[in-house]
Amino acid sequence: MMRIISCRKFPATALLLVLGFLLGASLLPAATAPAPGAERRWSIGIAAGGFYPVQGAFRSIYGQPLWPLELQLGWALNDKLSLWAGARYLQASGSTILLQSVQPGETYVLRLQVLALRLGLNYWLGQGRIAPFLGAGIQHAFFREAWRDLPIEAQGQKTGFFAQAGGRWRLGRSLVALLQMEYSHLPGGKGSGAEETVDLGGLGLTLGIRAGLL
Amino acid sequence: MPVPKKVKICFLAVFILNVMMVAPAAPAQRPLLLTVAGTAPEARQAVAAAGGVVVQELRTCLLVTAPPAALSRLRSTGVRPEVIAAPAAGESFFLLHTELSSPLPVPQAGIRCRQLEEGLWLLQTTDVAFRSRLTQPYRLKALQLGETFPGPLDPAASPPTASGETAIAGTRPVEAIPELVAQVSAEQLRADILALQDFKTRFASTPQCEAAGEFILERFRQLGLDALAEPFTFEARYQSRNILAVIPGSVAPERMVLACAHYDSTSNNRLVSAPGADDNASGTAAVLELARILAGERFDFSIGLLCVSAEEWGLYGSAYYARRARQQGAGIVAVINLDMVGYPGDKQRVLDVIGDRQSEWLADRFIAVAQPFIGLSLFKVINPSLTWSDHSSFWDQNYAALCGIEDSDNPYYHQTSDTLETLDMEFAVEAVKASLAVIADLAQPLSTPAAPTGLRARSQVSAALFTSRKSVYLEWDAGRAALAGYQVYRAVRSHGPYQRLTTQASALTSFIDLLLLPDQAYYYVVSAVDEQGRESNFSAEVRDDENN
Repeated sequence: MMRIISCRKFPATALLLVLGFLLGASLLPAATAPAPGAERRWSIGIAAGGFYPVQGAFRSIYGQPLWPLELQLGWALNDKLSLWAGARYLQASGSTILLQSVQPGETYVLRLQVLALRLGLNYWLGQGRIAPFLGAGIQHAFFREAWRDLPIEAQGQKTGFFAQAGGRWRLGRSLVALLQMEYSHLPGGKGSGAEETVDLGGLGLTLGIRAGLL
Repeated sequence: MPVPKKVKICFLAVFILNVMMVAPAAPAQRPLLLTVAGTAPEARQAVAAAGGVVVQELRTCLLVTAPPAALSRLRSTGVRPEVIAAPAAGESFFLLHTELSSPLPVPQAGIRCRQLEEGLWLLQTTDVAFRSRLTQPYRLKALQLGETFPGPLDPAASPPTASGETAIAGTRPVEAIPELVAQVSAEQLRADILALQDFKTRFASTPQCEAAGEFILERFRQLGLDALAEPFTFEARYQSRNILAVIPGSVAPERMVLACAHYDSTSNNRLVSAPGADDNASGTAAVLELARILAGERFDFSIGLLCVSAEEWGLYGSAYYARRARQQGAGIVAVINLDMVGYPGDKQRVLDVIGDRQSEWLADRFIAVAQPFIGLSLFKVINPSLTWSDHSSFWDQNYAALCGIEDSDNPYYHQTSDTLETLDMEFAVEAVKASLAVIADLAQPLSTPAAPTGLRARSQVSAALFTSRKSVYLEWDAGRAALAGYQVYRAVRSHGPYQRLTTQASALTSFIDLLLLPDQAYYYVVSAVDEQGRESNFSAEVRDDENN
């Protein structure tokens, strides 16, 4: 559900949710610590990279690529499967586009913020130092788009999915580098007319690093 | 020698192919006539998206022509189409209004009637002489199934209530109107009704009807008006004429306020005797009286005085005029159709003011402007199903139009006894006064300073991903007189109420209205203010995207 608001609550609610989630998740490993000598089951990571919106109007308004930042907490279920949870934050500045232009040059500055809480499952296709993987998951995003210096703002939250493919390069017992490509679909609801319905998803190429915890 | 199986199969395949090639092609599927429940803009959009055409908006449904394939598309969008006919060549369709339980005394071959709403029927016929088989009284509107109508505008929203803006009513006091209203003459009305009645019958297609048209044309010309007769053909074999006179506007002559009445008549013995004093010599005489009083006056906008024919056959004259006006882009601001304004009956003296959704502003304006000048009660009726008179032809072409009609059941309606003696001339005078006041108000007697001219509006939409805003760029021509500046007004409904946007008169001849709602239509006027602080009439109104 999307609603237009005039206050500036976002992303306080979403940030609280993320912090709570990460705090809870960080306490969980203590209860499920692996046996001595086993591969570390818990990991924490960070990833960043380029994001290419799938919708033309999105690209026209905010340009491309955009640069989201992602925090992840991983849990290896076994040698083949790992579950992870994360939060991805995207902020972009752009300017309005004219739908029916009679006076070129009229533009307004915009700011978009998207915070997506993500839950994914990776399937590892190998066990070596370098191993490819396939992954998929769901995401619930909080987003806000505001016109600078004007009381015009849209805010909402929506759920979508993503699919990933990539590989890891084990740098040490506790450190792994990840390179992944991703397609995400994140319906944003009714659009402004630039697009009938908004899709905040797109293609991403990210590089990350993950450190084992326990 | 036995024929091999493969050869048999080949022969069979070639035979089947030949049969398929020589078989006649399937006939093209004829469009269907449907009703679609509801009249919301979404229903219209669904009809258009499915390839259908709305031929008539009614109170409860849309009447639509569409190819058979559109049915499933319509159903998939959630609207409820119902097939009511498959029009064939040679078939005619009419909307028929009657108070009776059925338009036909007994079932008749070649005529099919289907009730659409209470008192409203769809009549489908191949019989060119079907009228003589219907039970009187009835009122007809011929449906033009092959046409694409522009359809109504979007419904107007409530005006925004922004602080700091001054709400201005759509009407402004015009000093000249009381003097004009005082000139309405009962004697002149009576004389004109009698003259029209004396043609014995004015049933369209008869020579007497044409003579009545000539009489009206001559009357207009005697008043010094630029008048003409526009011939038209109806039902493929009859001819008649619309009579039009124009009082040209001084500021924006391309904008016209139209007074309209049908001069043809009918009765239960229509080829011999159809005096039609109330229906509609009264309305025609009203238009002639408007012409007499307004002919020497000067207004910002033009005033058209239109007497149409073949209304009783199915609104053919007005349909012809309105269709051509739309094709030519005529700037008709409003149409006041007067049809039966002489028989108040036993009820309190009430004049009904009938409009459709897009004409509601006009009905409101009519009541607001006319009420102070008359001793009648005015009763607003907004109902698109009331299609039985010439205002409906203008509704079809997206013009604001209303019908002024007595709120009574005239027992002499469509009878040979509909004569002058049955009329109440005081009531007719009041109806003419009301119409005169509104027409003069809409056409605007010249003001000092003169109203600005050449107002143009263009709009554009700035879009983010989720939100957008409209900007409107206004420009107008600089006035010749020494002016202090201009005031700019905006409305969210055509013809107001307007809100002033400028805090004080500005000397600029342009204005930008920013950050408006993108889906709302906005209407603008400007006025000029002279150095003595006098404010002019409003300019001609423009819609925000009128000059895009």
